[in-house]
Amino acid sequence: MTKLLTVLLLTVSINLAAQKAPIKFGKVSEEELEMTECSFYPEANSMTLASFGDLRFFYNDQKNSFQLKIQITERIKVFNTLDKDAANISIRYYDPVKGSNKESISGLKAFTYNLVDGKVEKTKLPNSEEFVTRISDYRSEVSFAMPDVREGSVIEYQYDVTSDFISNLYEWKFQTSRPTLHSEFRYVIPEYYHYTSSQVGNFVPLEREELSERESFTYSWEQQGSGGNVTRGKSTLTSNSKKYVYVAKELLPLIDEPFMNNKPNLPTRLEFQLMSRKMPGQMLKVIAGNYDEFNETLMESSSFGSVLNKGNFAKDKIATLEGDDTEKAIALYKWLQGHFAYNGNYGVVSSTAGKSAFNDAKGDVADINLTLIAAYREAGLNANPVILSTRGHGIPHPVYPSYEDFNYTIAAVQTDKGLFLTDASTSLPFGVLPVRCLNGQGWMANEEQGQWVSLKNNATHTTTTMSTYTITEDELQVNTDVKYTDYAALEEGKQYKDDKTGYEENIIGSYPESEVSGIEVVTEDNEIRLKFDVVKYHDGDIIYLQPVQGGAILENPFKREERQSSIDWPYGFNKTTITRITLPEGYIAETPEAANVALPDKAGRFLYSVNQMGNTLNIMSTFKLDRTDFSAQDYPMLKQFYQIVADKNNEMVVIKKQ
Amino acid sequence: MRALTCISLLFLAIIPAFSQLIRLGHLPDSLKTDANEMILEDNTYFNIKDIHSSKLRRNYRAVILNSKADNLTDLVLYYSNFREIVDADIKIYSLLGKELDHIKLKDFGDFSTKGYSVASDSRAKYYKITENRFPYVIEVAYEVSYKGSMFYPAWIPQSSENLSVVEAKLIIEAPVNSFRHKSSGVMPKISTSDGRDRYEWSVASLPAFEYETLSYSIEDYAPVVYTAPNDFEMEGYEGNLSSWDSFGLWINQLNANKNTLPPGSVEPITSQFDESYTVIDKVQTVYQYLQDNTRYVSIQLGIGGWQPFESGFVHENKYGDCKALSFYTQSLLKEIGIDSYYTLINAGAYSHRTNPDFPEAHFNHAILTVPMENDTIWLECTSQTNPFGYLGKFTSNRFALMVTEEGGVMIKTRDYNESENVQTTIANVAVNADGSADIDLTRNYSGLEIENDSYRGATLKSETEQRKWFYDKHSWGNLELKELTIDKISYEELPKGAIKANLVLKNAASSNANRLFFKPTIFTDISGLKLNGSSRKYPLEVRYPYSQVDTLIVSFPEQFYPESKLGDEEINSVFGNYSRRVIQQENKFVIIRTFSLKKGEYTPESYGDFKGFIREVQKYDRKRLVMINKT
Repeated sequence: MTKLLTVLLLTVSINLAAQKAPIKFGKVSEEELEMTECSFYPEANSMTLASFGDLRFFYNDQKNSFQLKIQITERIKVFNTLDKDAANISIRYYDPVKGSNKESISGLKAFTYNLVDGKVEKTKLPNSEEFVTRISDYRSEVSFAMPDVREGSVIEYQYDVTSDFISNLYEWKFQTSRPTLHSEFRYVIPEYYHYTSSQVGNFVPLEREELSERESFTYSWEQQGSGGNVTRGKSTLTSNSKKYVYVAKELLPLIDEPFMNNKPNLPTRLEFQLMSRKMPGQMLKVIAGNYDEFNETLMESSSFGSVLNKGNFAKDKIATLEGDDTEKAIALYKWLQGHFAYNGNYGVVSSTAGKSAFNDAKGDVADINLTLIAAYREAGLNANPVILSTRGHGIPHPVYPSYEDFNYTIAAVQTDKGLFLTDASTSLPFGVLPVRCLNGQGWMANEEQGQWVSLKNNATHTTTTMSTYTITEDELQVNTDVKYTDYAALEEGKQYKDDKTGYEENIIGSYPESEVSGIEVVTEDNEIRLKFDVVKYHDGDIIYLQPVQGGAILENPFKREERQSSIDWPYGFNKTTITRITLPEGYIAETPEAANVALPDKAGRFLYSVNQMGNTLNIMSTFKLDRTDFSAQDYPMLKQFYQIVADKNNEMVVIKKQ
Repeated sequence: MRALTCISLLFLAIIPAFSQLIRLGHLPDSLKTDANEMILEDNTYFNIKDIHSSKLRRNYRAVILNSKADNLTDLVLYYSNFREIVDADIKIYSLLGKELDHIKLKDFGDFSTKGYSVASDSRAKYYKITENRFPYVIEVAYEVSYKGSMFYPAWIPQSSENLSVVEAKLIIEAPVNSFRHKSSGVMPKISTSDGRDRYEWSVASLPAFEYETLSYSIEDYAPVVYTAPNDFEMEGYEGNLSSWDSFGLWINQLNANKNTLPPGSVEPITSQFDESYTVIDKVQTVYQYLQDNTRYVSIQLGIGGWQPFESGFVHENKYGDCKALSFYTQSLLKEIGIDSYYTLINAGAYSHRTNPDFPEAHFNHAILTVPMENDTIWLECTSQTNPFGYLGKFTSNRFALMVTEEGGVMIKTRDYNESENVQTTIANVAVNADGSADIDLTRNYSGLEIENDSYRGATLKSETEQRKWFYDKHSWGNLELKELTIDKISYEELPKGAIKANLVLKNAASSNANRLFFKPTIFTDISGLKLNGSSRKYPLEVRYPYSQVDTLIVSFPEQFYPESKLGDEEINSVFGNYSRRVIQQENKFVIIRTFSLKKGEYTPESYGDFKGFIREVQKYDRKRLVMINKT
């Protein structure tokens, strides 16, 4: 169940005695070493006994600013040889080559503990076996393999993360791919900062505690006197800080399941957003606040809002435009779509959007789509940017905006035909977003007032198959006409364009017992039509045929007995098959029975109908799934629904002599 | 900085500044067919100074014809402690010769290629060309400096499908007799002057090709030149690669003094032996000890990419990479008096195959060879779960370099044929009037078939996970699993294992009105073997042969009688065999299906027959038994 739960910070201070840390580094108990299985997830090959993060602010004199230090301690139990890899650790951190904000890792200590003849033996990871690798221009990694790992070993390591990312504090993941007995995140916030925290991902109850703590921060200062002499000194700031403790216990691992195409949204975690800052002697500065303020900041930004009105590159093109607003919007979209080369990168802001990006003729999604909006505005259309988070990048916080929650910008244009969301970095038709963008809602920013817009917006994947059967003395002739629309057209069209011969050969290959001929494919913007004829021999007196074929659901994709995570399809599905069979003189047909099944709340529907008029038999199978999000609780119902559909679609028609 | 300037000048000297128009119309249509990219001119100069250093310079000009091009537009240059990228430069032009962009090495991205290794110094510089105005022209130049000489480049001027080549050239200049080559589809012109050899290979007018299924070797499609040093040096270790024998001696040099097992290390192993233990039992005990006590950890730094850790290090830390674990196992066996040999191999089901006639240092894995009196055992030392002596598709049936004290020896690893790779299924299927069936099924796997449906992996899972595995991997229909037993894999000559399942298949026979349609290939078919292409240009190969034997005992309720029966069928061909036997007793049937696919390499002309055989089997497999209710 992906449930978004917002935990508002209470300002009530609870005075409790300082708590004990959940684990003490180096104090591995015999009990932990003797443990043979995970009590709440016995099939685990390894488990996390404790994962503990302890965050504090400190003042960095060199940088002349506050920084974060997070001490992280992990204690992992290896039950058997099947998961000794649990002892190969890699810690990745954000460390851009360019840019001043980064993370760093220091103070790594790591030990393996074994119980040998009843005694605890401890083996240190030597410094020579710690490796630091720059992974990319953005990330680095500390990696090491723990020594002397056996069945039953406990490994423990601790390190400090130093971070400049005050605005997001630190994302704490309670749930990982390993079962976790105890996960705890503590943080102490000086009185100068105010954060909002939210629990996201699979819902797991968290224990929470809030305490008061007095902190002091020492900083160096220098002052130039009136005579030009510099005096230096050290001073101390004291803060009535707040300490927060979040604990989760007995967390199940996040396991891989089929149809898990938005996995990063799933693990239970805590996310933060800086709301305001008030340094001593300064005014309160609201940082995030609400979406209205966020919207304003965005629209005033020199690399977002203000680039939108810097058109002046599309004049000549605009002069040639004809038709209504929608037609103009389509024409401008196609023009820029063909003009730009997409460099494969996502992005929210662009300092070059407009004329400069246009002249470069290449860029990331933000460069391209902000330029498109500028062109729309130059043409007098009502167009605005929509920022969003792509599939796999999480869901933006609905109340407290954070710039980091977003990673993509598309264009929205309002005409009398409606609001069109579109992405010119793709080769898709106007008004169709790439699948990666179909993730919850996006924020449509605007000079007056922004708003949320649904990104899935009734997106569908539609296949309509019409088959006509003609029966002769010894042959079965089938003319098939398949129409793919919306996302089905995109999918099918891509396969066809990538390898036309292969596409046709694949159709032939799926009828090993028949002759396939007359394959014809017509591709249009939002529709692909496929036609082909199949001829098959039959034995004569009795003909068996399965009226519902390719394009329909013939097999249940859901096989497992149960499910842990929710299902999130990017779009809904429509699959219709219409089969018309003309019976030869003197033949009768035995047909399947009709069926009509619906999911609650209009989430989906399946209709199977059989009609005979004279010697023409019409069989129609319609499958429709409108809802795209299903919780794990819905799984048995969804599985059963698909099963009914698959079973029915597999039923046979028998045609025989009277 | 100065050096870089020199190189830039050098590039200028090699290729005249690009200014002429590219007239696509002047190029033959044969080079445009199936092509997304077309190399106009490609010059690679490899200059071997001595065994310590060499340089590769390459510059090429190509037309990117359409948006499907993804080979030349993504430039990736690998580097490490032994390879340095000195310079790289990309220019992009319109067909009219207008410069659209100019990219220098500093604009390249940089990433680690360590993958799952705990440590590795392999990295790459990359640049992805973004351009939307097709067709356009790219002009690329780069220079790589090699330190040491274990590897000389392979030249594949047509390195991917949908790429055509107008002209390409490789020139190697080197001290006399310093390298060898293995050329396929192209031969060099050789000249010697001033004590240096000059080899020049050139190809022209290579039309684009497209990969075909069941084909694994680039040499079938395009000209390839492999090169390798004679004398060589790597991080101070000198050797000779002109024979496997001498390369083996070099490996020995790397491995020398690495056996540092502390005294008494084998005590936990030998204490298990008793008088009944044969040599094979002892090897098995050592292997078990290895699996229980170590794990695979990849650390590849500098010469460490070819040199194992000391066996004492592995013993103490209980981990190592393939080299370290193989060497460690060798050390353990040596300690108990059993000879075994460190062996280098190219692992991977469809990886580059070692050519026994052309010694080169191209290996990606190490295993251990243990010669027995009648047979040989190969040990895969990196896995905690591999069945004893099992090589799998990963390392079976290929040449490998066994390193003995006297030097290297080419050997061929174990092969598994179709009578060893067998999946046998016996199922009792009691079909009910509603089309559901109660099923008791036993499936046995042997040889490489244990890799089928990840069965081998499933044997290691917990019961809950095994049930998930069963549901995930068996598309038999709407099934409800009652009981499942998965046997561990046993090993005698061949790995063997079995699953037993008791289940209800709710739609075993599709039913309507008064009929049941039963497909006897619910459990096994070859629908996954797709041969769609109507013709073929290149040879085809069946690399991993197998057999399927299915015995179904199917019963229907009393009131049902067969309306349409299944007949006996048999196909015998050079590619394999198929048969179906049906024995009927009233409304009970015994259906026996066998299918085998033999190992073989076939000419493109035999493709039609091969496809005919497979499609014929697929056709028989789709036949259903139709039962009708007579009441």
